[in-house]
Amino acid sequence: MSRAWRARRWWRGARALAGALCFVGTAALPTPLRAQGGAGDTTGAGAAATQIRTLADQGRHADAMERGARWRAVPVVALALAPVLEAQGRLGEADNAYASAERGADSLRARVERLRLQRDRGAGDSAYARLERLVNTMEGRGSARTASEVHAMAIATRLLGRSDPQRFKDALRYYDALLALEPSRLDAKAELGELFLEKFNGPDARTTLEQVLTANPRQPRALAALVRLNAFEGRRTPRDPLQRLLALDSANTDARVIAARRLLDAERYDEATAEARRGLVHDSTAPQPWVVIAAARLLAGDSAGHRVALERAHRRLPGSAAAEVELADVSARNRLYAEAVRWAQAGVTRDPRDARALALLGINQLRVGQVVEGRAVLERAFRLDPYDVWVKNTLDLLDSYASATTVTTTHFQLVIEKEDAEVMALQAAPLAEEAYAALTARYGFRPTGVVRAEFFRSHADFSVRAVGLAGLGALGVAFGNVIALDAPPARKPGEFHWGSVLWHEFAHTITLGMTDNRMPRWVSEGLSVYEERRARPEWGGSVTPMLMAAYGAGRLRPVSRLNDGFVHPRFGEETILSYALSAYVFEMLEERKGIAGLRTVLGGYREGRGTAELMQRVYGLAPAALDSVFDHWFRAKFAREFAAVKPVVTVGADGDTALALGGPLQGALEQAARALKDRRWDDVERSAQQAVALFPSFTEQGSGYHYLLAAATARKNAAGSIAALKGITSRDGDAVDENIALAGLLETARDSAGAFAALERAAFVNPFDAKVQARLADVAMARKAFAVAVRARRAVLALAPSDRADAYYRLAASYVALGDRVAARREVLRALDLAPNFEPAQDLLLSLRTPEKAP
Amino acid sequence: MRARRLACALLLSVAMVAPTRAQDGGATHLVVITGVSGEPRIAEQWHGMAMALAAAGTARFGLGAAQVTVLEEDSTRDAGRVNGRSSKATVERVLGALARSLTVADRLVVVLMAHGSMLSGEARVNLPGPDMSPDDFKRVLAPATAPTVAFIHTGSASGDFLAALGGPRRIVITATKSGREQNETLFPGYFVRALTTDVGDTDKDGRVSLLEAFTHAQHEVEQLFTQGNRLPTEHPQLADGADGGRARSFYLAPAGGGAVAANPAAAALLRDRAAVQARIDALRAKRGDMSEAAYQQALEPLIVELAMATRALRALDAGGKP
Repeated sequence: MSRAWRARRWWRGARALAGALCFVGTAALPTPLRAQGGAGDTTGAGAAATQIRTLADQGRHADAMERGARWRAVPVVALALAPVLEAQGRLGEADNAYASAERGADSLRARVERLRLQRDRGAGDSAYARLERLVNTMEGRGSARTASEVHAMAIATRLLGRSDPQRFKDALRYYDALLALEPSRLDAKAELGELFLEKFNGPDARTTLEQVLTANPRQPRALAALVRLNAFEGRRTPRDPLQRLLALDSANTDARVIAARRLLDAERYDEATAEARRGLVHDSTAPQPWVVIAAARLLAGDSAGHRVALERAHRRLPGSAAAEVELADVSARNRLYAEAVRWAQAGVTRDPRDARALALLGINQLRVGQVVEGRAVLERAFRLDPYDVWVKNTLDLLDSYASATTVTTTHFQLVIEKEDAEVMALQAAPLAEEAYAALTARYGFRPTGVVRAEFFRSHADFSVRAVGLAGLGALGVAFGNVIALDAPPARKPGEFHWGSVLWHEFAHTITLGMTDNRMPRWVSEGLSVYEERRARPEWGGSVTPMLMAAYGAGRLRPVSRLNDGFVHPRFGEETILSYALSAYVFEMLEERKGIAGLRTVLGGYREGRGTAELMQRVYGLAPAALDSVFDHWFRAKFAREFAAVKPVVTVGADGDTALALGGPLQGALEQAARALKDRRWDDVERSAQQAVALFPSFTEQGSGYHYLLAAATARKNAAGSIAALKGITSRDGDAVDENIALAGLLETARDSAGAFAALERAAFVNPFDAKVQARLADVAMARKAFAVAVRARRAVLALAPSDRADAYYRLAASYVALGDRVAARREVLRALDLAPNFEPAQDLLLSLRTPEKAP
Repeated sequence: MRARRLACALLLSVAMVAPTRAQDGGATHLVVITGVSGEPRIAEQWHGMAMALAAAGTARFGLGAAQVTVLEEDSTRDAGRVNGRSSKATVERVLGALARSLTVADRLVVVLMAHGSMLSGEARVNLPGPDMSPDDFKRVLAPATAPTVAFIHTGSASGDFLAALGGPRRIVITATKSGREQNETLFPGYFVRALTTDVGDTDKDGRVSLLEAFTHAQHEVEQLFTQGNRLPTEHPQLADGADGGRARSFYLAPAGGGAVAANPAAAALLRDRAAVQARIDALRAKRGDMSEAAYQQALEPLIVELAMATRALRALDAGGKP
C-alpha cells in the first residue's frame, strides 16, 4: 500500500467524518418524517419510557423496572426497559423486551438493538449478516421514514463500520439527519460524540460532547465519553467528568471501569481490582469490569485471579477480542511489550477482523523489534480502519524511515536516518558500547540479542514511533531492546544532549531486562536518571531551585507514592521534578547497600514482588520509614540549597495553586538583575557571586553564572568570562553555545587543553556543527590527539563541505599524524581525484610513496 | 601557502585556460548594484559585500578602476568608491552604455544585491525610486549581443530573472527558483565570499570560476537549511545554456603564466602536465565502467606523474632545475 494512496484514503475518511454534519440528510431522507417515541410522546406509556431512561441514567434500575412494570408489554416501554435489563446482565429478558418492541413504531430500532445484543452474546456472524441485509433493504427501498428509523440506521451502520469503514460515514449521515429532525436528542448526540472518538477525531468529539453536557451536565453517556476523550488527548479538566458520573450513579459500570484503569496506570493493582469490582454492582457478569480485574491480577502476578477474571469476561464476550485488546493495551502501558504482542495476537486469533487488536499487535511488534511483521500487520489494520491515526502515522513513518542506515556495533544496531548516519555513528557507536560496558558490568546483566537504537531527526517522527501520535514531550523511549530517541537535528542545539538520552534509555534496557519489564515507572526512571549522572557529572541535571521549592512546599509525593508523580501529576512540572527526585532515592539506596542492594531490588521485581516488600527486605525500611529516611538524607545533602530557596505558593482566581521562588537566592538574583540594568558591574558581580555560592548547581538562563558572564563581558574581563562559562559548562551537559564561547576564550588565553575539552563537549552535544568539528580537529592536531582529529575530520567530511578536496586532504594529514599511512593515502587520493592540481595534497601523496624512515 | 598557490596558479593556467584566452584578451566590466535595504543591518551587509567585490575587482581580478562600477542605495555613503545611486535611471544609463560599447572579446558582470518582490505577477528588483523588472534589464542589455554577460541576482524573488535574461553568451545566476521565494536570502554572503577569497576554489587551480562560486554558495545555503532541519526558503539557480560549462570556464581573475611559458623547459613541463591532465580526464570519463578499486589504481600513477611535474615546475620557478 503506497503512502500516497494511504494519505488519500485517510484524508477522504477523516474529511468525511469531520464534514459529514455539513451536508448530510437531504436526498436520502424522504418526507414525511415525524418524531416517535421521543420527548414528544405524551401518552402514559411514553411518559413511563422517558422516566425509565432517567432512572436508568441514575443507576436506579429497580425503580426503572418498577416504573415500567405496568406497561412492559407496550413496545415503547419494552424498548426503554431492554437496556435496563442489559445493564443488569439479564440478557435473555432484554432480548425478549427488544422482541416485544419490534411490534411497535420503533420496530426497526428494536431489531437493530436486538441484533447488537445477539452479536454481543456470540452470534456475531449471523447478526452482522442480518444487519447488512436490513440496512441494504432499507436503503434499497429509499431510506428510513421516521426519526426512530433514522436512529436505527445510524446505529446499524455504525456497527457495520467494523467490516466496512465507509459505513461510518453513513452512520454520520444518519446521525446528522436525526439531529436535524430532533435537535434535542442528547442520547443520539452523545452517540455521535462516541463515534467521533472511536474514529480518533478528538476535536469534533469534544465539541459534540460539550454540546450535550451544556444542555444536560448529567448525561451519563456523554460524561463517560468525555472521560475517555480526556484520556485519549492526555488532557486534565478542572471538573473531572468521572466524578460527575459517579455522583450520578456510584456503581456506574463505565465509571468504575475507567477509574480502575487509572489505578492500573498508577500501578496500584489491588486498588484497581477493588475499583473494578464496584462496577459489578448492577451486573455481576458485566464483561468490562472483569477484563480490568483480569488485567490488574495479571500485573499483580496473581495468575489464578487473572484466569478466573478472564474466564468471567470471556463468558460475556464470545468471539470478541475486547478482553485481549484491553490486556494488550494495559500491558503496553505498563511497559510489558512482549506480553502486549502476545495478548494482541490472542485477540487477533479470537477475532481476525478486530482492527484495534491488529493495530496493537503491529505497534507492539515494532516496539519489540519485529519491524517487518509489525508493518504487515499494521497494513491489515489500516485496511480495516483507515481512520486510526495511530496506525496511519506509524505506517507513514515506516515509509519515510525505510531508507535509514543501520550501523552495526558489537552489541547495537544503530538505525539512523541517511543524512545523519555518518556523523551520528562516529559519536553514537562508541558511546553506545561505553554504556553497554559500564552498565552491564554494574548491574551484572546483559540484554539478550542486539539492542536496536533508532535516531529520529524529526521530533514528530520520534513521537509517532513512541506513541503513534505527534506531541510527546519526551526525548527518548525504551521498549526493552528497542530504543528510540531524538537525534540532534530534532531540536535546537543546546536543548538536550542526545548522548545522555541514549545512556538513559539504555539504562532502561538493562533494568527492564533484569525485571522482565516488571518495575514501577518511578524506579525505572529514577535509576536511568541516576545512571546518566554517574556517567557524566554534567548529565541528568542536578537539583534545581524549583525542585527544592516544590519538595520544601510538600508538593511532591513522598518516595512511597512517588509513582503517582509520574502517572497522575497534580501540576504541570510534577513529572519532570519527580524524575529528578527519584534519582536521588537510588543514590541514597546505593550509599546504604551498594549496587548489590539495587540488583536485589530489581531481581525482586522480576519475581513479582512489590516496592514496599522489597524496601523492607533489602533495606529494612517500611514505606513510612523509607519516606522519613529519604527526607532526612535529602534535606541534609542539600541543606545549602534548601536554605537558599523559599517556596512561595500563590492561589489563582480558579482556586489552583502555583509555586514561585522566593528566599535568598531569588533575592540575590533580583539584585544582580537591577545592578545589570544600571550597569553597576561591581554590584552585579557581588550579587551573582552570592547567588552562585547559595546554589552552585543552578545554571539555567538567569543564574548567577550568567550575571557574572554579563559583567565580565561588559568589562572585557576574559578571565571572568572563562570562570563563569566554566561554572556553567561543568554542570550543564547541554550547554553548547557556552562551550563554543569558552573554547574561543581559552584559545586566546593559550589554554589549549581547556579549549580542546570545551570543543569536545560542544561537538559531542551537536556533532552537526561543521565549524566546531573543524576547530576541534585543529586543536586536536595541535595537542597530538590524533584519533580525535581523525574523528572530527571525518565528521567534517560527512557534513558535506563545499571544499571536499580540502576536507579529504586534512583528513589524510590527520591519518598521517595518527600513523595510518594506508588510510592517509586513500584519503589524499580522494582529494586529488577532485582537484588533481591541489599542490599540498600532491606533496602529501609523494611523501606517502616514500617509505617511512625508521625512528 | 596562499602566495605559493598563486604563483603556481600562474604556471598552471597557461595550459588550462587556453580555451578562454580569447575572452581574457578583452576587457571585463564589473557592475555592482545594491537596492533598497529597508533596514540598517541589511544596508550594512550589502555595502560590505559591494565594497568587497569592488576591492577584489581591482586587487584580485586585475580590473582597472574604470572597469568597476558600484551603484548603491545611498551614493553618499562611501563617495570615493560608490559611483552613483542605484536608481532605475542610473542603472539603465550605466548598463546601457556598456551594452552598446562592449565587443565580442569583452565581458560584463552584473551583480545585484537587492530585495525582490512580485507586482501583478511580475518580478521586481526594489531600487530607490521605480523598481526594475526582468524585462527592463532585458531591454537595457539587449544591445550586448557580442560580449559574454553574467547577470547575477542574489536577492529574494530573483528566480524569474533566469528565463528572462537567459540567451546565447549569457550566464544567469539567481538566489531563488521563482518569484514566490521572497524571504531574505542567504545566498549573496556566500557567493561574494567565494568570489573574493579562496574558499570557492574547490579544484585548487588558484582561481574561482563563476560555477565554483555558485556551487559553493548553493551548497552552503543548502547545508544551513539541512543542518538546521528547516524548510529551505531559497533555491539558487544557474543557467548558461551549457549545463554549467560556460560558467565553469568563466573566471574573473586573469589567466597568467606568459612569462614562464616563454622558458622552453617550463613550456615542455607544461605540455607534459597538459598531457597527463588529458589522460586523467579520459580516465574519469571511463569511471562509470570501472570498479572503484580499478579506478583508484589507475588514477594514482597519473596523479603522481602530475605531482612530479608540478614539483619540477615549482623548482624551475624558484630558480632551480626541473
